Amino acid sequence: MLFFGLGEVSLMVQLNQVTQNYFGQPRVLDQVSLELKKGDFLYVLGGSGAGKSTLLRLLATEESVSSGSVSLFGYNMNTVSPQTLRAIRRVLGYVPQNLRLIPDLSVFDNVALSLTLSGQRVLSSEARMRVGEALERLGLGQLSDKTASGLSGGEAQRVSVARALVRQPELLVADEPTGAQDPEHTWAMMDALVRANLSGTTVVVATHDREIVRRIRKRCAILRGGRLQIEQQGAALCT
Amino acid sequence: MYLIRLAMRPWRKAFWSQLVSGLAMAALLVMGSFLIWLQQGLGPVISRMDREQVITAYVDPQLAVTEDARLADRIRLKLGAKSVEVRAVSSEQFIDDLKGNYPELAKELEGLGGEMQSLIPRYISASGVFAPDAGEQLRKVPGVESVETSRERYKPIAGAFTALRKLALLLALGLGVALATGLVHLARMNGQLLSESLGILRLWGASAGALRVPALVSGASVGALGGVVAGGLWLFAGAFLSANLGAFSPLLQQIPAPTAWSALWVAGAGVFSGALAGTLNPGESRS
Repeated sequence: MLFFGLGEVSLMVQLNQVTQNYFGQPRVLDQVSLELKKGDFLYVLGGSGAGKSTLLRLLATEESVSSGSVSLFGYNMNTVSPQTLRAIRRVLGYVPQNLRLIPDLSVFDNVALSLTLSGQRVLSSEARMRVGEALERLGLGQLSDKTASGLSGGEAQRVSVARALVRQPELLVADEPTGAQDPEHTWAMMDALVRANLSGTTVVVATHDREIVRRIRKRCAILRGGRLQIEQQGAALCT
Repeated sequence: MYLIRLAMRPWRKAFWSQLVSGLAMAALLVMGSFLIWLQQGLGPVISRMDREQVITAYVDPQLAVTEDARLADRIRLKLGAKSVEVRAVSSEQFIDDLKGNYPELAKELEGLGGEMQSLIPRYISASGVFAPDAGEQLRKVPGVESVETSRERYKPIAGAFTALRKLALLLALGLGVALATGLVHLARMNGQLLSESLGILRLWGASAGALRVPALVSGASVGALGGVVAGGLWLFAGAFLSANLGAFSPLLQQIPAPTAWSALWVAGAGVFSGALAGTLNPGESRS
């Protein structure tokens, strides 16, 4: 698989002995190692404060590691050049826990801006169509013109997911994307994530909703005390 | 377009802060413009006071009146005939000159008859661009009793103007520091308002240039407000001050009134400094 015209990579994500701690705090992540190939789908489970969001922020290139290394698409994030980092971010889709919509823009513009910044060469008509589809898929068609600052928590969460999906990313990182959803929208959102996964996107979802994990069986890992346990085939670690 | 709309967030979230900052910036710019205009304008005035002189050489009363013209020639040659206007003023011409403004006094002096010759000094007036020591040289010319030069007369004024120039420059620099400090604080506040959105744009792969656009445009918009208000004020206030500074000293009338170009420069300085301040703080996050 070729990325950025720079080479072929076999692993999308490779975490090697990653430790993350903040000033004076105990380790949030402790010697975490993980590998994800193209098309993988991984749930990350764990209680509050287990380090799920920290792990996902590392995958989203939002933070640097304290020790160890994070490689995305074959590039070590400790040594990557700013240009390559920017190129990597353009093929990432990220749903942060705090959503971070741009409150001044409409729902449509929030999603369209994400597509624009992905650097994909799409005609404006195609861009409109893709944005419209992403919004419809998540039940946001009626809210297209609404300003993001006026959305409810659940609506904003869906916009944040649409914003990540519209760029058809190589790697999608979603931190508790269904936390504020009713069941109907939860399954619509999971359908959208699975659909993206089927079309080749590697997906990492942090959640504490065991029902989702049970109904949509995928690879799963649990964070406990900063340590990551990955479910082995046949084991029922997460369910 | 999205980035421009983002740039307008500080105006929506903190309208009064932006407005007051813009107006404070305008006030500082107008004051700074006045000081720089004064500093620049006084330079040629001081230089002219130094170079262009009016020298009055009083003729020795013992010298025959018929020798005045020859003395004037000697003075002309001494000063350099090319750029010098020399005029010998006899007692009668002095009275004639006096009649225009002080007719009564002229009449009284005329009544003195022959005594007038000894009471009213004859002098030779020379005006032009002279060497600084021209007065000293003329004192040595035979037939010259004493010499007065405008340079000596203006020396305290030139000194005061020089001090004023330095003070104006210092104050302008002080205002520049105050302006920069205010703009940096405004940029920091606007940076806080934009930081979260810029953080997510950065994570989407926005280029460094694109990330600077909102802060730059928002800074420039405050700068444009300050600059346009300051430019307009400067055009009127400058013309008013220029017209009225002559009341302090006629010499100050030599400073040219501010032009429309200078007002445009003031407006441009506002936009530029606002935009510059905006680029200083485009939000904090991993690059």
